[in-house]
Amino acid sequence: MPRLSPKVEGFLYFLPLIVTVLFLFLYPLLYAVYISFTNMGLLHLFNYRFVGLLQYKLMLRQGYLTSLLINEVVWTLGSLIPMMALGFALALILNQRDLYGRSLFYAILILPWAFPGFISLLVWSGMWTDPYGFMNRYLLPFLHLPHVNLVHSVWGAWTGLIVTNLWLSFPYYMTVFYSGLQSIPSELYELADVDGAGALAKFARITLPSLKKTIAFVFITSFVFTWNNFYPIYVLTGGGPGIPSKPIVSTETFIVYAYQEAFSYNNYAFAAALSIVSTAITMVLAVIVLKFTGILEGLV
Amino acid sequence: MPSRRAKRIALKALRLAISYIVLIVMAAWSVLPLYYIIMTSFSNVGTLVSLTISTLIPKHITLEAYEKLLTGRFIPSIRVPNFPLWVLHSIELAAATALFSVALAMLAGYALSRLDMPAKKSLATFVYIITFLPVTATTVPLYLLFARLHLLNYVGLVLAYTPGTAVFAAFLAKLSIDAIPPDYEEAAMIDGLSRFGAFVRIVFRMAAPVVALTALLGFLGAYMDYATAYAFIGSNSNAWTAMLGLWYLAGLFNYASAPAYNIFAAGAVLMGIPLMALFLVSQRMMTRAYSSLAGIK
Repeated sequence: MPRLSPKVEGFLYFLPLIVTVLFLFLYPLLYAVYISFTNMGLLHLFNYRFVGLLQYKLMLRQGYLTSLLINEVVWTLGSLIPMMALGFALALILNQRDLYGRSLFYAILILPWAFPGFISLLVWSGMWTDPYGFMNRYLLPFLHLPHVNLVHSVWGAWTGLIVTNLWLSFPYYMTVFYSGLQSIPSELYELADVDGAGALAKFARITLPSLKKTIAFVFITSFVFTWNNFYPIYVLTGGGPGIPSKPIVSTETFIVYAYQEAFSYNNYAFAAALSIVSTAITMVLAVIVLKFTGILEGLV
Repeated sequence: MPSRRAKRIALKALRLAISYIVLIVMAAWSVLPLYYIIMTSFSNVGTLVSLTISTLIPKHITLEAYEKLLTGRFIPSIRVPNFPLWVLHSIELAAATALFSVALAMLAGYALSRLDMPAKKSLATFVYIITFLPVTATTVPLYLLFARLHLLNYVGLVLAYTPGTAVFAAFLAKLSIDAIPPDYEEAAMIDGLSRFGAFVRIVFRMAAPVVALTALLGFLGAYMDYATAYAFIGSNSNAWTAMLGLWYLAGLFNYASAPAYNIFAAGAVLMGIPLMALFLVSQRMMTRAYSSLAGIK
């Protein structure tokens, strides 16, 4: 066998992945761009025709785009801020050296993350049922809290989504921050003790600066993840509840709405347009993440 | 100064007390939904309405729900017990996805680590961006294309699942191959092995942890998928996967025709606990892999 030039050989090894990405990512995306310029839907499943930018105009004109963007921000920041705050607080608590049973508590606290998320969501969906579900029948009355109804009230839907997402995800943030805290050299704190620094000063001068990079990294990567997090919304509210005067239901995000337009309402062309917009936004976010974190610097 | 010392001890006690209260409350909250579903699976509760607080007290433990889950024919048109069939489908899909992901990720990881190629950096960046899109984000475009190509079947599903794991794992493989000294392969190649032979026989073996991790991620990614499977094969209950089955058992497909709720609970436990164990076993490995990718230690 003749020896290939190293450059060609390297490319041959990388080729299968490139082909996969071209065939399973770029090609479908371009095909979706094409479909988004047509009127393909249940009425025009095979005899669809070219309608130009109609689907995109619809998206702008009827206020879908603004509603979806607002929902995305509520969902993403509404989930992310409590999750990071709770994860950080628990990491700080677990990081106290004079606390007994730290590893036991840690082992229990990561269970929600370990249990498969989709199955947890199915369980939570039953628990949130109003009025028979466990939350509305027992836990919330026991805590003297009002009912949370995910089907009829917008407030209830967001509350249910964010509380459930908090349950699903806080262990991840706790784990990342906990290992970040453990990697801070204890000498720093000992020196601060010698200088007579108080707990707050140590937190502000040592803990926070040491974790700055971790916090920024976690925030920015989780932002993209939560933005595109499909299952909590799809399983718990299905994008609902619907509001008659608004074109879009109240907890819908791009990814959930595109899926439903395609597979619940068979509006394939509109779903394709939504997917394109959603993918474009994710690409922009991804480039920001790559620039900001420099993930790829060490990789290529 | 005794008063100052007393104050310090009091503060410490207060700090620990608050810590324990927070930890106990959070631990209870973490366990509650899991305990609730496990207890329901051991009960004879048929609906959410009859699921009361006494269900959660282990008094009358019964395995009835598990028996029905494993032998039940809920959908009359399927001639064999439904749930085991759906699980089998999931395992087949997940195993195929794992296999393809490992092959693709190792080849690409090897290229990224050891070999030179034109436009390496731009190619790698282009490919890496894909990892930001979950499989649910590409489901609609893939569905439209695959409908045209007659791929709305298991082949199409494996194709849809593979890039999600393979691309991400290629970069993990790159890092782990970086850590293997190239001397071994070079020695093998001097002894007459081709580069591909050295790759298969030596690199695969030495990068075994990342091969296992990739296989695991590929397997879980496919096994846990609901959205793509529903889009591609949702209308054919004969071809359903375990997650589609659970969705149906949970009464989300059609509440009126769903079997008893304790059967769903048994399914959730039977699917959830092994996957949870797998996660806990591999969690350390995964966290290390993720943080090595992120450049945070």
